[in-house]
Amino acid sequence: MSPPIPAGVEEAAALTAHLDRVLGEGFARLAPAQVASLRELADAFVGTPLGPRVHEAVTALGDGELLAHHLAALAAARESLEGARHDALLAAAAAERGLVVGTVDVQPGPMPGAEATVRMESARQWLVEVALAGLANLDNSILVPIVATLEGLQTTAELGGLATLLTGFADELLDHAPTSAVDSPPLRRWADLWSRCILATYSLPEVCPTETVDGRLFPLGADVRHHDHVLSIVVHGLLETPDGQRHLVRTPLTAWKVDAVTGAEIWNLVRPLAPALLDALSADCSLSVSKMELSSDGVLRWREGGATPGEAFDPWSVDLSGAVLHPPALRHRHPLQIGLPTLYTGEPPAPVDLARTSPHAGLAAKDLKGASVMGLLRFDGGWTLQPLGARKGSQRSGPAAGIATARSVRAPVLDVLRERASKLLRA
Amino acid sequence: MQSFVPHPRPTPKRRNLHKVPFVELFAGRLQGVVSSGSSDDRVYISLIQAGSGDFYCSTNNNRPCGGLRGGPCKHIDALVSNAVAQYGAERVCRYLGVPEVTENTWQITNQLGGDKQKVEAGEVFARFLDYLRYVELPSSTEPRPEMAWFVTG
Repeated sequence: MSPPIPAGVEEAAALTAHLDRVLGEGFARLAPAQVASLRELADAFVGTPLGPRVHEAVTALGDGELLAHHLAALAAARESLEGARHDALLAAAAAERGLVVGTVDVQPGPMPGAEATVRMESARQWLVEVALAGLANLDNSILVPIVATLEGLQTTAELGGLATLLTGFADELLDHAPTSAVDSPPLRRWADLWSRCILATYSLPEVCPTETVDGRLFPLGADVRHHDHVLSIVVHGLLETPDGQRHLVRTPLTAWKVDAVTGAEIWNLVRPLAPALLDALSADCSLSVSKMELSSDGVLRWREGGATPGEAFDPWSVDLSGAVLHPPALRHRHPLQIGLPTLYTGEPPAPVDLARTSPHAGLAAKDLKGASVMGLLRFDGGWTLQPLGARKGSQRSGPAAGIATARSVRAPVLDVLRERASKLLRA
Repeated sequence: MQSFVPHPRPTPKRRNLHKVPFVELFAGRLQGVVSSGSSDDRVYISLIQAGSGDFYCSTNNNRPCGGLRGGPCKHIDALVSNAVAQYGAERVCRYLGVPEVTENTWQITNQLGGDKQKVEAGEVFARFLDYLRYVELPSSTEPRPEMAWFVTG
């Protein structure tokens, strides 16, 4: 059965729509109706710590004072609503599943260095221009200049998160330029991404403290996420520690990529980071882990030398109830981050939705009929189940199949590209 | 209420990488690098402008392609057909402003029309080098929760 949708979740979404509409049209020349709409958003924050800032921002923007920090105050309001929606939804889902919601400790992130500060300002400047023009009025003259900024972000180690996010957002806008020609542009998605990007240009992400753990890890499935330039695999697993605690953990493996790498070959981009983990996932094999870092938001940082293959296990006989579900760090609280590992055979516990299943995941609707399925319980306006992998008799679909296929790739894409580039350079 | 999840894209077909090692839809152009059919050591820079359909093809040291006589050459044909494999006909036609979506290379260039219009090969070659730059950036086991927003590409 799907969890309930808590009171206020839909009302909060309706409030964010005030900002999304104005961001679509642009802040350069605000009409009285647009200012009134923003004021409705500001009114919802009266009596909260953000209240005075949001109110001041709406007044200033209405007076034509189009400054970055006023726009950022509205972004903060928007994303705090998403955070509140996240918290309510996660609590409802965890209760229905019999999971224990953990507590996240966070420490403020470090101060950015001089180089990072310049790059963050450059990104912010571009985001301000985007907001002034409006998400539905962007053409290449506004969009293309971000390319130089992106290169700087991508090579600044402390800005990995901002670089990843802004590269994906810019790729998407560049693909749709001019956005005025797009039929029903995804303004809610773009306004959300814009808000997260501009907030990320002000400070580095907070740090979640880690503890060093030993235990037995049962890899359950992997979520395949990517935009044109980044691939990020998240392996979901259950970690049993010697003190008898059971944690739902996530192990991210991330690589920059190019779009010529498709299908099962994507697994080779991240394989060097965690071969033992991928092989265990592919073979339904547990792992004994020692001295790995588990952060308070449930991320198990992979250290290849710290894992030894253990016994085979049947993922569909693993009982997840009573395990600790670690919520994301404060900054990352958002309904899109909800993904509760779910194992079932037969009737799915929520409507199956393949919208978040990657075309490279090796999984199609036909693979799910009559199969045992591992998926994530998601929320996108309603509860849905995103399948990650399936087993029907001896036939496997999803990561297990992809990881195995990737190992036999001949003529890897990157080898061909490098060979051709060398011809150009020598010519 | 609109979804946060991006519109799905068609599953890319594996293109002929040796023939077209680089193709992109960028800054109002379909552009890329196409290997010569006669010499394994030669590559061409080919492109089509969105909207106008103006096209050009040259070696990377700006020697014009001999096949550009009044219309697109076979390198441009290869560029378009491999772009369709990589991105799907819908995305290529939408980006270029082709009125009637089709997978047929000739119909795509024919609907666009356009004339030969010189572009410095170096502009596109620099983009190919930028493309290759991505595969040299370091991979990481750090958390990237930002990637929850992305499932296409």
